Amino acid sequence: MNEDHIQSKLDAKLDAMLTGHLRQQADGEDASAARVLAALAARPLPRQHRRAWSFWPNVLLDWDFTPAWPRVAMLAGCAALGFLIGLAGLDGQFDDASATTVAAADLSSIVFESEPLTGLRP
Amino acid sequence: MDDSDEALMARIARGDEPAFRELARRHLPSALALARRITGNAADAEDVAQDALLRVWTNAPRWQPLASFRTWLTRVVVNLCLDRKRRAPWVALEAAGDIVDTAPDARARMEAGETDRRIDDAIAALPARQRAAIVLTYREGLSNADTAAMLDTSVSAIETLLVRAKQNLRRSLGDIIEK
Repeated sequence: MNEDHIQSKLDAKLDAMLTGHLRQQADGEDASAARVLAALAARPLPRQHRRAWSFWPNVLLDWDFTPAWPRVAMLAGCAALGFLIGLAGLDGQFDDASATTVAAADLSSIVFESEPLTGLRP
Repeated sequence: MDDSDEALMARIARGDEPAFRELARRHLPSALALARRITGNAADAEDVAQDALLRVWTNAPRWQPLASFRTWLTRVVVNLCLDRKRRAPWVALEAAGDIVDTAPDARARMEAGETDRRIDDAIAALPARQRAAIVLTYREGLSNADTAAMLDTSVSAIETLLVRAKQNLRRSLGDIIEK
């Protein structure tokens, strides 16, 4: 039997031994798990690390953007009322109040001076 | 209700403590066993597992499901084990004392126990990264590429670590292997 064959056989044996050994349950693992869980339950959990503004995407995702039907009905009602008021001319006095009046301003102050050099007028 | 790891993490990110306890109960045994194999003792393993679970809680809002939760937790546990400076001394055989066992297969079981103890000692004597590579490969069944990702190194570096670790183990356990 050559050296390589012996080495590969020993390697395979070591592999099997390590796999079998490392995968078997060690004594007291259940008790350890119970101790860790008890330790975690015994005191309040620490504060979580949150990025500033990290909650905004969640707020936007949780927001219900679908309008409720009463709001849609109210919006449509307001639009219809405004249309009817405009048709009936009930908003005339508001139009008058906001109409721009050109005052009888003193236009004499507006003087077109001639060019000092050429004497040209604009 | 969806109780996958990822769904539980989403709930934990919103501060849901019962979801955290459920996830901890689910993954603690494997995290503890992995930590115990790498650190070599139960007390350190408990500290590492507890620390790892607290990191799950605190970092949950930042966690992105790019890999599976289990992969992420394994990585956290391995890194915590490697970061641990203190290595508790192993209990010498003399300190364990003799226990009389009158069962018919007592001798065979005693020999098996002795073999397990020698394998444990040989693994514990390995440098930390060699030990982590051996545990991830043979206990977790990870490929070289996955082990490399866990240890933040290249595949060729893992191959070297494994070759050296197995050379060391063959030296320590030669008589058991050749038996």
